[in-house]
Amino acid sequence: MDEIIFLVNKVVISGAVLGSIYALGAIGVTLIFGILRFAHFAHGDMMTMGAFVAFLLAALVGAMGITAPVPLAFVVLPLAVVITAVLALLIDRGFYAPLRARGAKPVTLLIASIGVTLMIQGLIRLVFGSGTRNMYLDIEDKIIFRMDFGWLGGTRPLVLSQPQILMFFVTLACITGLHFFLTRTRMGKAMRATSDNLDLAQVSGINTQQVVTVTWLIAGSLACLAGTMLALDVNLRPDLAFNIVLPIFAAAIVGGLGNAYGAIAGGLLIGVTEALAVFNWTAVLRPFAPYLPFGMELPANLALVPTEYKLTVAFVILVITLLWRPTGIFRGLST
Amino acid sequence: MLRAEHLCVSYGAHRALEDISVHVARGEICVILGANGAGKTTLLNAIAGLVAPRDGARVTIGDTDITRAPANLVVEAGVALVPEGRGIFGDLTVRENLSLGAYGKHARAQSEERLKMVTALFPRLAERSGQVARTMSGGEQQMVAIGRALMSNPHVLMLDEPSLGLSPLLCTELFRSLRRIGETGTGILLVEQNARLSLSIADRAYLIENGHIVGEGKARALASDPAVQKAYLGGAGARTQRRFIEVHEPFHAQPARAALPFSAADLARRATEIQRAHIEARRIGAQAGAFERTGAAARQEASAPASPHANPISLAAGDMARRAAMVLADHIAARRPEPAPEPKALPAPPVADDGNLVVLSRTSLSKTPIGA
Repeated sequence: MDEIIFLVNKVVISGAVLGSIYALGAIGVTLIFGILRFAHFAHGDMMTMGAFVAFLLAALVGAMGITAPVPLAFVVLPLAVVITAVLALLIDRGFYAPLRARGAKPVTLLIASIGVTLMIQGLIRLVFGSGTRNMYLDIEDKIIFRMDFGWLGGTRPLVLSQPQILMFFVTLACITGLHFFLTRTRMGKAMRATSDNLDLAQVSGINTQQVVTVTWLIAGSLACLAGTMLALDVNLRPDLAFNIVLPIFAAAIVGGLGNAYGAIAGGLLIGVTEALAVFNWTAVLRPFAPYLPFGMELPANLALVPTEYKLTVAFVILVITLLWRPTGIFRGLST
Repeated sequence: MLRAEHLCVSYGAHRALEDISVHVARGEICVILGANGAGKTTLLNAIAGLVAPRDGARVTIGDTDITRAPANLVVEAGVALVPEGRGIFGDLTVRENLSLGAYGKHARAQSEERLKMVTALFPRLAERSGQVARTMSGGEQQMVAIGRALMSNPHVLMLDEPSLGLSPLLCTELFRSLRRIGETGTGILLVEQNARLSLSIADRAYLIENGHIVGEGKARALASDPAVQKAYLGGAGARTQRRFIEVHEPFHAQPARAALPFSAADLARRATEIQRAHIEARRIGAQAGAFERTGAAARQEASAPASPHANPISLAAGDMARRAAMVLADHIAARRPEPAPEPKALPAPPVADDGNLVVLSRTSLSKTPIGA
């Protein structure tokens, strides 16, 4: 029984948590690619930026002596989301829009977005320093829920932290909201139409400038949510999400670029697979150790991939998916 | 109603449109005829707001000036475009495609009635409303494209080559629905390769060549004009009047032109040479093998759109080769029992007893001397 709970703790929960973060990031990447046809490399740093905005607001609110049963960074999240969305829009207006107006190629925009990456990271280091910070204020504690499964004969509890539960609900709400937005609202349909066929969207009477604006607002909002939830789960660093921008891209491509549902599926797939790959199978196989033939012993660590090579998992999945289905799981756009 | 004046459009150094003026009245069907690359699509795109015309242009719909307005405001003002090729949102359902057509403010208010009107015109779209548009057949996709454009309740509907890739039967059906749309009071500006069919439903026509308007008139008058028949009706109109083989304008310069009417053998030989040069130069297989085909297939191919990469001269060569093939194939079909010598691995040219050339058409199997 302990082994199953260990597996759930290490694979199902951490895989789903990581997958949710990847999914929220990949939705932004895939929407931007669908509408503007370029790979927005700075998306990871937009997530970091959102987390720092939430951190700043939480510190301000905390200084006013306000407390809440959930971390303050979560309480101020709606405001942080708005601020990050506006910042994302300003980044577009300041850097990408002028390039688009001059007819820049997608690769130029990609390089520009790498520049934006360096700039955001530099600014964050300049203001907040390069150290690691805790999203929880000094007076707050990270609540950890331990569910006892003693009645099933186990000794280990199922461990879930508060940010993980919050993240689960936030991701679920985002995905449901996005689904209704894309399928039921006029603007959502216009976004799908623009992603499908830009010229035709224009001659159908869709204001594509407006669609671009809304795309950045949504991408910025989701980036802020994902960044803050990630920082709550681990901790806050200037390179918080820069390190996961590659798996996020892999998730978007695996799901099919331009397809929001594909990004969700791709994110969860890569998240859970990464958790499975670095999982130490010895823990689960230990009960079978006495039955091993010829006095074989279980090695101390039986993970498929050492933790430090976790990043490769995303790319292995990417390569396999592209070989099997070049446009991604959900038929996406090609470049 | 729609009035576009002094439109000039350049792509870099290339002038695509040179001072073009067109107008479409209420309920009127206007067709724009011209070869590939003449500027037909650019004209529609300039009116629709997808490409910006140079200074001095003026586009109005009713009393509204839509010169250089962004595309979404042009639709709002009442000019809808069905673009060339895939005029649909492939990943969206038919219903979503249609509802996106009524995206503009004033169209949204009446979208219910428009939907009724569109489904009355194309009942198939009501049956298939939940289907993803990409999975439909070519003809149905074209219905979605036109239905989407009609949903914006346009005063003028512009269509860019709507018959492209449709079977002859579907084409006829499509043009019939266009006429019905015209009868509701919507003006239609139509760009077409199928000159015969489009002239048969149109009220007026413009002829456009190298970015200039070279002719304008009532569709009926143009359809019976020999110059138009020669240039746009593939010589098929001429066949009903005189059995006479004509070539395209670019071949005025060819020395053999002086010998008109020349024999089919000459024509075939020249066409083969031009065709061979053309194929070698362009590596386009579309015209290759025309000689192996039957007359009927060649005739069908003659109305097929040529590759956009071909220039007018090679197009004309291909066209001439096709027509020569038609004549030859007809002749061979009629004269099959007679053994024919084969110069250059080609069937022999038809030679009549009296020295005159004889062309046997499959439609009327009567002997008619050329030039008679």
